[in-house]
Amino acid sequence: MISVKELSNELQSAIDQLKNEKGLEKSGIVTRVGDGVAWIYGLTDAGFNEVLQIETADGKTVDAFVLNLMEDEIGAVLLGTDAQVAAGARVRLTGEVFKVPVGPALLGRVVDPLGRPLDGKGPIKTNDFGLVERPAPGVIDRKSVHEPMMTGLMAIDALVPIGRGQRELIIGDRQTGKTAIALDTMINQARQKTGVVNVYVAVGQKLSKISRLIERLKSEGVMDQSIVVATSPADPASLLYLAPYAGTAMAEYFRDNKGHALVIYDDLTKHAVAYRQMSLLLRRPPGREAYPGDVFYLHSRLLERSAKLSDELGAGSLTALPIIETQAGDISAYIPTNVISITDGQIFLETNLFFQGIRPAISVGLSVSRVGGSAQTKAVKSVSGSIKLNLAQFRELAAFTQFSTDLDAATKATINRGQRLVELLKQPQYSPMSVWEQVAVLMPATEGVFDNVPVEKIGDVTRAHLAALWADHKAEMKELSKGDKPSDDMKKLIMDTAKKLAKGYEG
Amino acid sequence: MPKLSRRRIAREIVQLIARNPERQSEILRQTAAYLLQHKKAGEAHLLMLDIADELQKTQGLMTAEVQSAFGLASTTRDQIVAMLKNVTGAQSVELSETVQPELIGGVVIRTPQFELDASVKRQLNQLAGGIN
Repeated sequence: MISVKELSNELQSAIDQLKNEKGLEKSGIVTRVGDGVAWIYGLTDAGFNEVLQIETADGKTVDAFVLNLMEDEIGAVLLGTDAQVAAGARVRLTGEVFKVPVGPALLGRVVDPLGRPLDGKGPIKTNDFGLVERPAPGVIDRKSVHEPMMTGLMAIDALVPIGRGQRELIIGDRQTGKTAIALDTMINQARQKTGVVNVYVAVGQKLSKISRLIERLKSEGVMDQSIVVATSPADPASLLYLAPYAGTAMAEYFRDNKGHALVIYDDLTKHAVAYRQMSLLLRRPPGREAYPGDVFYLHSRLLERSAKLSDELGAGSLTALPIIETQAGDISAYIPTNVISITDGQIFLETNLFFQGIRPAISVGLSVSRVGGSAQTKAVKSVSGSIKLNLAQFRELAAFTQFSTDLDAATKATINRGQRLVELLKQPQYSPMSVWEQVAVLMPATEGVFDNVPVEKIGDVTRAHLAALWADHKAEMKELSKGDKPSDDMKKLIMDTAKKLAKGYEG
Repeated sequence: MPKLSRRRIAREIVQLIARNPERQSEILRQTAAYLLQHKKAGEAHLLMLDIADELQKTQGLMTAEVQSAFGLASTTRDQIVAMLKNVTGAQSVELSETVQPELIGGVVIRTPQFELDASVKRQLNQLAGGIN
């Protein structure tokens, strides 16, 4: 009797055997090479993004991947230095697209976009590989974003809350604290033991900066649940191009296995520049600002892979924090507007706020989270309702602060409250705040308890308030940290403590 | 004048020569003039590869280069021809042979689009790559 299982096994065995047989292989010839691009004759069956192996003079191989498919030749971008590749070199197809190692074995490791370790801790031992280019989950495969991704930064968690599966852009000029926000978010995942895996993708960042960041992650105890994909400006543009996709593939492993991951792309401006360089060298027609016509698709297909999956698929999530660097605060430039239109909101950092000492230098007026309250912890949501309005009113009247004696009482009160809220939202680096801390600080502030405390003492009174609550009511604060809306008793406790302390600081 | 792809040129040349074999020299002279006019004389060898590929597809005429560490025996030559006919469906195979001692052993067979590298040198390189 014919056994289907036997037939299937025999067929598979025959396939494996044929695959391993070295018969006639399709091969091509490098006709010219330079600037990281090899032009190849032959290989008419090559697929887009297919990995090629180019034989060097000393018998080794250099990998490349196909980006230009033309009738007479194909253009392939080299993944190593082009010094090893010469015209006339033989090229073979691998029949595969790019894959990187994925899985828990990557946690705590620093790798390059090909998955090769850079931290000197030995090879990555994993049997799982993820596709670097992969379609995003479809509509049916998703669920709406409803779980909070706490950054620990009060200004963000209260005003522009981020949810798991959301894409929230961090945008601002150089040296405004963009990476600092991303780093604090990663640290908060470890502090609050959320179980979220961090993937930090450094695209063309200085090695000194990457090294400092890794040291900080290690000292904060975050490295064990983080993966760093590192590329420097000295790396070929092809590696800078691949880095975000490789990082996403590594993060997707956790998303697809019922876990949660956070991926930070630092930064996509350098990514676009690297892609522009590759495209121009591949002789693709330049568009606006010399970027290729598909520069939008470069980022849209990357960011669409960050999603909250449906319960049927395990309810995992991948949250993205892409970073874009602007020039002179111009958020209407080409790449910034592209990425703003793709993401689910942006956190805009302003240089003048930074130099005024308002750090994180978040522009409350220009920052937005399109997911909003549905991803906000109920506890924080209950106390942050009026903050945005208060701050908006303050901004309207901020110009009048120099006329304090000539203003009516209501205006003075608005300015008064606004100044204190701005002071309250300042937060030192590497000091993410837990849910109870944010609630305990925001609740009395929005109710006006600190309105008579001098602005310069707001920091002191809030620290004292938190210390007092933790010392005397630890159990209640731990309960509050679970995120549920505070009960009336809890509110009374916090308000009474705040009022008592505020009296001692009033001028 | 629109730019013509090399493969299309190769196709046209093969078709023209097949229809008018007595005009072969004239056709090739015109091709040379075209290449010189468009500063593509350096691509002549690629054009020849395309023509060889086209001849194989349309008329079953295959050209193959065989490299070996030592000279080929006539039986080996016949086996290679038979193998190429069998695998590619070619009706006739024109072999050119070169001796390359650095291959150490085995053969390398190259056609315009394919390659079979069964040399000892490649196997040693692959072993070395696996070790590294």
